[in-house]
Amino acid sequence: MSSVTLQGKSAHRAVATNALAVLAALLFAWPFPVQAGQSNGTFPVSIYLNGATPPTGTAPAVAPASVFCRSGTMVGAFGSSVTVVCATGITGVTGTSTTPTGATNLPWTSMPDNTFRFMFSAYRDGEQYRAMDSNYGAGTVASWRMIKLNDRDYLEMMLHW
Amino acid sequence: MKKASVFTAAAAGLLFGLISMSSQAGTATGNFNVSINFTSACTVGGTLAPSFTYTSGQAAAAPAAGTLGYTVTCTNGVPYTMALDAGGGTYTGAWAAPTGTYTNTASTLIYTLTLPAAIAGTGAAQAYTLSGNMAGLQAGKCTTLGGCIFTDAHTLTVTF
Repeated sequence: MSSVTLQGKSAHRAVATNALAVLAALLFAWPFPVQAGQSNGTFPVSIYLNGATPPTGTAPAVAPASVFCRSGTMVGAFGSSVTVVCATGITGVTGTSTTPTGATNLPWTSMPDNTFRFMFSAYRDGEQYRAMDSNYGAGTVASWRMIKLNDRDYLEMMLHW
Repeated sequence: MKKASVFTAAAAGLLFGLISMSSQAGTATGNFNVSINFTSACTVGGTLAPSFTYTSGQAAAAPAAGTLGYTVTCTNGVPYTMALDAGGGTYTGAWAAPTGTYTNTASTLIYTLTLPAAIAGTGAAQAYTLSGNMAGLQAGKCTTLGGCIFTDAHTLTVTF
């Protein structure tokens, strides 16, 4: 009897082993189910509160950090623009790729490399600011940088036509 | 003559036999499978950039403006779903399809973003329009004269 039982167990083991082999074969033979995939994209949601003006143009660049002001450069269909947002409001300069009329009359500081300099200073005390070379004019921003001093920030922009 | 006839007959028989042997060429066939490992894919396109223009305490709700259209391109026949995130670095929120409710942390302003219902992929770009709303009578928070600009970076996820 015991031998029959043992044989029976052996038979069961053999069947189980065969079943596992068949199952394994089936798993390899069958195509694995397609795993769910994901695709995503990020987008900004902007809030303009209490009169803040949306900047024009597209593809805003990452603004440099500043205690007092923050700036953004936009490349639009007609050129580049720089918008400076300070505690006291918004000022800025817009440039296009076209040559402006009367460009020589603009109070920009002419630089040796045929660019024009725009310097903007903002005082932190009392959140006041004043423009050293202030003007809205048409031009192309060649470069710009924020200069952080102990008591004020400067924005320096180089433009050309 | 008889010998010649016999020889001729034997030669003819041998030739016939050779011809018969050569005509016995056969064909062999075998079957084979071609496996195609096909992976479905989806991509999100467009320059989605909704915006809200709001004044503290305004009575009317502010609908989302800006660029609200986007596209999803999925393999033909593939069903998919779309979802937004449940909060990020500059905002908190929750997503309960099809609408997410978010609070911009700095301004404390609450807004909703709603996605349209997704349809199965067609292999071509499918256009969708996101909608959003900022309820009225919110005080908000802005310490800057001249207004404040806040930006939350959201994520749209397509699952297929």
